[in-house]
Amino acid sequence: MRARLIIGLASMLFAGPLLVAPAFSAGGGTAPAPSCAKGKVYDTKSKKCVPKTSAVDDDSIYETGRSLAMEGRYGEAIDILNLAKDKTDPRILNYLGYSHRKEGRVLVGLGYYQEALRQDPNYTLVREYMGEAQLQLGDVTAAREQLGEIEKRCGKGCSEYTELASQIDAYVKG
Amino acid sequence: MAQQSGMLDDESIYEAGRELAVAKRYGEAITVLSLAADKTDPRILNYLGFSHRMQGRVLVGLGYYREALIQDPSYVPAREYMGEAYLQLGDLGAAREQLGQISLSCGTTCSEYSRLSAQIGLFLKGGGWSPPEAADAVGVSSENAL
Repeated sequence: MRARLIIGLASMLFAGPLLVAPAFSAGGGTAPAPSCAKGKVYDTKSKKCVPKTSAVDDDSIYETGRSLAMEGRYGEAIDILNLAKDKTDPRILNYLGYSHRKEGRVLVGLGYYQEALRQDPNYTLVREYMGEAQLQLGDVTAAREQLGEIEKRCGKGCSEYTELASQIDAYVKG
Repeated sequence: MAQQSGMLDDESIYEAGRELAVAKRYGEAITVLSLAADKTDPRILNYLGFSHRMQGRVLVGLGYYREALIQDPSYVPAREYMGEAYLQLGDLGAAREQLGQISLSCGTTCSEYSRLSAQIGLFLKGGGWSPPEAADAVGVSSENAL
């Protein structure tokens, strides 16, 4: 019974997409923004929204996932970003962290940020988001620590520094 | 793929995800478990943590375990795995802390306590962490074994 369920699931999830031929839309005109309808992903090569399949490259997955996250479509962002082949890409991990955090799973988010920083300690955008996560948890000291790490890497003029600094200010002012 | 999420209840998703994870099909387990409607179910979070950890993303795994424990601090399977994660990171003190927490929830005879305790013993003898050999040695909590 259970085995049958798994086989059924596996064939739906993993064999299914292989049967779907990429259906490129025939419309011309201006290039669409890298944000697509549910179930589609922006292909940076063809500059079109295509059905999400395992054939889509990680850059397209990243771009689409980031756009969805920025639009507040966190669940869809997670679905897309989970398709990335390279599960250690800090950009992918960062937006998985961001999307989980914004859906309220702050500790899951922090885990993704920590993994991203393990891959690339100089990725200051992750440190900015991580500082925000720590503010969400009420840990100003940890947020300031990330601010210090950002300053070491890009000074006080970079956007990661100024954005986290203003978040900390706003938090402290209450 | 999206339409599958409405077809299966979370119980089936959990069972299938757990079976895949125990069969070491971690990537597939993550895909299946991600379909759960309730993203805060500690059982789902626990096996997402397990699968990420077993694929080498120990810090991602820890995040899922912590989230599972926020949802239910007495969910000892997550504490057992969290203890294992700490051993993977070489943090014996933190692993022992989880063992202590498990004993507060279910004593020192429940399977979660015995397994983490054995892992800590192996860690001390061998100077490192190695994954348990038998598939049934992982994650089948006493409630699931019934």
